[in-house]
Amino acid sequence: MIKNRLLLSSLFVVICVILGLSVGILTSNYYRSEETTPAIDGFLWPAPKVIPPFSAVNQDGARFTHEDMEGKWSLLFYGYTHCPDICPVTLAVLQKFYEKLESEANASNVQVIFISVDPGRDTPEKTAEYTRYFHKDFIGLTGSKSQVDQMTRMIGIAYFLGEKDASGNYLVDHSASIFLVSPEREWIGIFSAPHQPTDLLQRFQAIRSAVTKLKQ
Amino acid sequence: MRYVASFFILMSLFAPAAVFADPAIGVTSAWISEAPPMLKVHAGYLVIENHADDDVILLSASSNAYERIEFHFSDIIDGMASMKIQESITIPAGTRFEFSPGGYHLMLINNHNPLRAGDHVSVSLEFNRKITIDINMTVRKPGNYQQQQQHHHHKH
Repeated sequence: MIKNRLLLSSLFVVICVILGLSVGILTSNYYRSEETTPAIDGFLWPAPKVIPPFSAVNQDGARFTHEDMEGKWSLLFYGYTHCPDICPVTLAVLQKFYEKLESEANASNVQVIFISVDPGRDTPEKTAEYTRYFHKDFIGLTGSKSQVDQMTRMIGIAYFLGEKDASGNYLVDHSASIFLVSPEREWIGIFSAPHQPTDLLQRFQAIRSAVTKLKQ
Repeated sequence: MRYVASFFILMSLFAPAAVFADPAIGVTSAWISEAPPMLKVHAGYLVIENHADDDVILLSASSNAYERIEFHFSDIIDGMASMKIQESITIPAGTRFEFSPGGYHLMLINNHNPLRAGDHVSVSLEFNRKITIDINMTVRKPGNYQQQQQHHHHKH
C-alpha cells in the first residue's frame, strides 16, 4: 500500500516535471519568435543595407538627394513614362495605397518615388506630368545617365534600353518590384509583382510597426 | 414596310459592336487604359472567345485613332519586367484569350487626338480566314494588376 503510494507520487512528480519542461520549451520558442519578428514577406531584416549618398533631379527640376529620404518611409518604383502596361498599373496600385494612408491620416511621413530609367526621354517636366497624373504628392526622379545608374546601383537592379524602331520608339526592361526604405535610409523591404493595394498596405504597415518595435 | 425598317434600325442600335460579326469569335471587356496626356503609347485590354472547332489567329489590329497597334506581352522574370512583341496571337479552338494588365496587351501607338476616360475608340481586329471584327474600346482609368490567366503563347 505504502509502496504503491510512493510509486504514484513519484509518477506524479515525473509527470509534473515533464509537463513543466514542455510548457517551458514551447513558450520559450514562442517568446523567441516574438523577438525576431520575421514572417513578413519581403521584410529585409536583420542588417538592412543603408542607401548610399546619391543625387538626382526631381519633378520640379530641383536637386533631390539621399538626405531627402531621411525621416520618411519611401516606396521606390523604377520605370519609364513610355511604358504603357506595367508602370501605370504599378503606379495605380501605389495611388490606391497612398490614398488609403491619406484617408487614415497616415501618409504624412510616407513618400512614393518614381525613378525613371529612361533619362533620354524623361525630362523633369515629363516626369512631373506623369507622376502628378497618379498623385500630386508623388515624387518623380530623373537625371543624367550616371545619376540614374547611381540610383539603380544603390538597390542593385539593372535596366536595359531596347533597340529603336523606325519611329524612334524603344522599350526599356526594368524592375517590376517596389522597394521600401526606412526613415533611417535603410533598404528594409522588397515587394515583388504582381502588386495589390491592400496587400501592399498590410505588408508596409506590418514592417513599419515591426521596425518601430525593434528599435525601441 | 415602314415598321419593318424601323424595327431593323432599332435592332441595329442594340447590335454588338462587331460589324462583320462572326458567331465563332466573341470579343468582350475591351478597354484602353487612360494615360497622362504627354504619353502617346497606350495599353488596350480585351477578351477573345473562340467558340469554333478550329484555332483562330489574330493577325493584326488597326484604328483610325492611332498610328499603329502591336501585340505585346509583359514578362516578369526574376523581378525584371520586359515587353515582348508578339507577331500574332493564336486562340485555340474552344478557349478564351485574355489581354489583361500585367500580361498581354494591345500596344496602341501615337494617338492622333487626346483621349480621356469615357471616350470610345473603334479598333479593327484582323483574324485568319479573312475574318475582321470591329470593336468599340472604352477609355478607362488605369486599373489593377491582373496576372495573365492563360499563357497560350508564352514560352518560359
